[in-house]
Amino acid sequence: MKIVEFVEVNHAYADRVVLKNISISFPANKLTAIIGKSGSGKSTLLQSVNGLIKPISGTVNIFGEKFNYKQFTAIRLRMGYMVQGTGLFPHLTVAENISIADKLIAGSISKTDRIKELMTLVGLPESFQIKYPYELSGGEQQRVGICRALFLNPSLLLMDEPFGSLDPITRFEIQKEILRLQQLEPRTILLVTHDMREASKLADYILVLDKGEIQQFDTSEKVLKSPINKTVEELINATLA
Amino acid sequence: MRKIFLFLVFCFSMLNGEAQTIRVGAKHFNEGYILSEIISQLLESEGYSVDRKYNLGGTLVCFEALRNNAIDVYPEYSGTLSAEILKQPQLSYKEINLALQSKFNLEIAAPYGFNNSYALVCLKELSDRQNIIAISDLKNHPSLQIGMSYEFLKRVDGWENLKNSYALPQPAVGLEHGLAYQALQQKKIDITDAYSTDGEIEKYGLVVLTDDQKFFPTYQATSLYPKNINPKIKKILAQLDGKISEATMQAMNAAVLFQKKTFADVAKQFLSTQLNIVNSRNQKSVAQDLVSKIATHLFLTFSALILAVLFAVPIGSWLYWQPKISTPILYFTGLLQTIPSIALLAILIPVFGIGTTPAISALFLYALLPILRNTLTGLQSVDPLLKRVADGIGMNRYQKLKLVEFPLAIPSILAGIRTAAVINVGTATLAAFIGAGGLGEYIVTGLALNNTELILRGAIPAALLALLIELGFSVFEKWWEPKHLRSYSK
Repeated sequence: MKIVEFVEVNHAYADRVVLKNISISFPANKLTAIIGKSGSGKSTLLQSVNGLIKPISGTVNIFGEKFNYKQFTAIRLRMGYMVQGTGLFPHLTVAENISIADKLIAGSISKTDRIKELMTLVGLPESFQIKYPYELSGGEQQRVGICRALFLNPSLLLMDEPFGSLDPITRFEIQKEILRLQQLEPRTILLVTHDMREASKLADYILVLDKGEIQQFDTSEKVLKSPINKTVEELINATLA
Repeated sequence: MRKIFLFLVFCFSMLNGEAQTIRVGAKHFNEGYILSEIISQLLESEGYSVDRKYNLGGTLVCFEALRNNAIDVYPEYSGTLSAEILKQPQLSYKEINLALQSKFNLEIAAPYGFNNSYALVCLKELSDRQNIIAISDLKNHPSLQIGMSYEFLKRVDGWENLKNSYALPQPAVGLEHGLAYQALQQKKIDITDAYSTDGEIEKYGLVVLTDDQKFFPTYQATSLYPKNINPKIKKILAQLDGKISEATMQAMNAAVLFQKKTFADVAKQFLSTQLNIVNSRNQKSVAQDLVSKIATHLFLTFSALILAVLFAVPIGSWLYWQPKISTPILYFTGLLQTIPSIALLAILIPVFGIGTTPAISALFLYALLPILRNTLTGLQSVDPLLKRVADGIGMNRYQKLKLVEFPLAIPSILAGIRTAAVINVGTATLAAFIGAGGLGEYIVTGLALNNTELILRGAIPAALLALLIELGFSVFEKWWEPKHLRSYSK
């Protein structure tokens, strides 16, 4: 089953084209970094996966089925979603943030056990359950964000520049955390980033976008070793040189 | 929420439920208040409970209130009925009664005994110097300054027709009746209209000009009530027939105006000396009266506020999903806000009558805008990233509203409710004009009598209430708003 597949997808805002004839299938249980400059269409691509954006033409297939925009909530509950700056709800405690999805479904899992399990997994002390996001450091908030995204144990995880606002040390720790989790329980992860260093460290595959077009899509090693064109090369040089 | 509802039901039943309650109206001037208080105490002495709907403004409001069954009885004048209501100034007392019965199903009792005619008055000194004794003498003095009350300027039996009938050359300026005597003393005007029973005539030694062309109809004061009123009540009111002479009325008017006695005291004394009736019901002390008026005031303010919250918060949330119509609706509620309070109250009288309902309705309309606007902007200004995350997690719009947007908009909504509450406390003082009571009663009565102390007795507690509510809300907001939201909003 192809978990995420795009077939000739196009999208534009007013007369600015942001996705141009995208056809791609993302490898299952692998982490794919979607990389490009600002305005390359990388965020639009990611938001087309969970239906926050409905492309003007083409087909998006999720979990082997054509995306049904009338039942987007059911589809979204099957994928985890993380954004830049964590997007934790400030009025909810850590435990409430992590288990927010429990309020959206007829609960079949043990909420308290799952919260504990996830917090242990990312190394958060149990006493943090009753804390509010503002009482946590950036790195701790990020870990809570990971727990929230994994709460329903989704097989697909979407990450929209989640580490963009972290300091280098914290970012390094969280990246390690992601790698560890991925080794522990591999899942399909799409990570949007503009940082080739991050991509090279985390990703099994790299998709390079520019002006809405796919430049190169291959394993990380291949992309880094033999960039297909000048755009990709520039992108690599900008962050890795 | 259920408790609040039950409380409201309880309050309404307290207001409406009492059996055998007679609602007595009053015209908005000194004599009107005294006569109504006499009727009220007379009924109370016979065991009825009385709902005093005073401060109903002028003739038309009282008359409409009676026709629409918002009050049961009020004192009126025969000349006013014939000229203003029936538009046939020449009718006799008996003809007036017949016309009222056939046209309006209303009825008047026999006259109280005094004729409170309109009259023109001037200082004695002017009368002596210029030899002005009758209204027709005014023709020879075209330079005299004429100052007339606003009601007199507009009445059929008022200035325009009087001027034509006597062919008077002078123009007239309008002024508040309560201020006319002062203006006369200070020689800012030479001639003004007066009621022949006004206590000021004797006090200032004014000369009443003879109506030598018999322009004014007679104004016999009497009780006006529906034809089908309980005969027992008719019988009780008949005790007043022929009992109030012109001198008695003048003395009672003067007792209130110059000896600063209360209406209740003057009425009580009249009943005991003239009718030998002792009203055993204890009169409320000033403090008790103040407390009950504050209670009414708060009841009006908060019933309207609670209704507005129940209405505006859901509508505001719904409008948040309907950006196209939210702007026109906000404009419309903004428009409601610009209608002067007194005009809005007047507009509501034909729909709801007088009393509590139109007052709460008007306050409700005023409270809508701040709550609606703050609900909408509160929801709109929630961090777009959080909205996107809520969508991305898989919330539908109801879940998103309930779990994320609404909780984060609460501080803004509370601020709107606070604004509405403070507006309502102030505006509720105007409710007295349509007989809904509250602190405004002091202010309205004080204005009618030019009594500063009475005005302040209403105005100061109303201002304090507004401050207290502002303070109370800020304490409540601090207590309600959890720490994390305060740090979030910074």
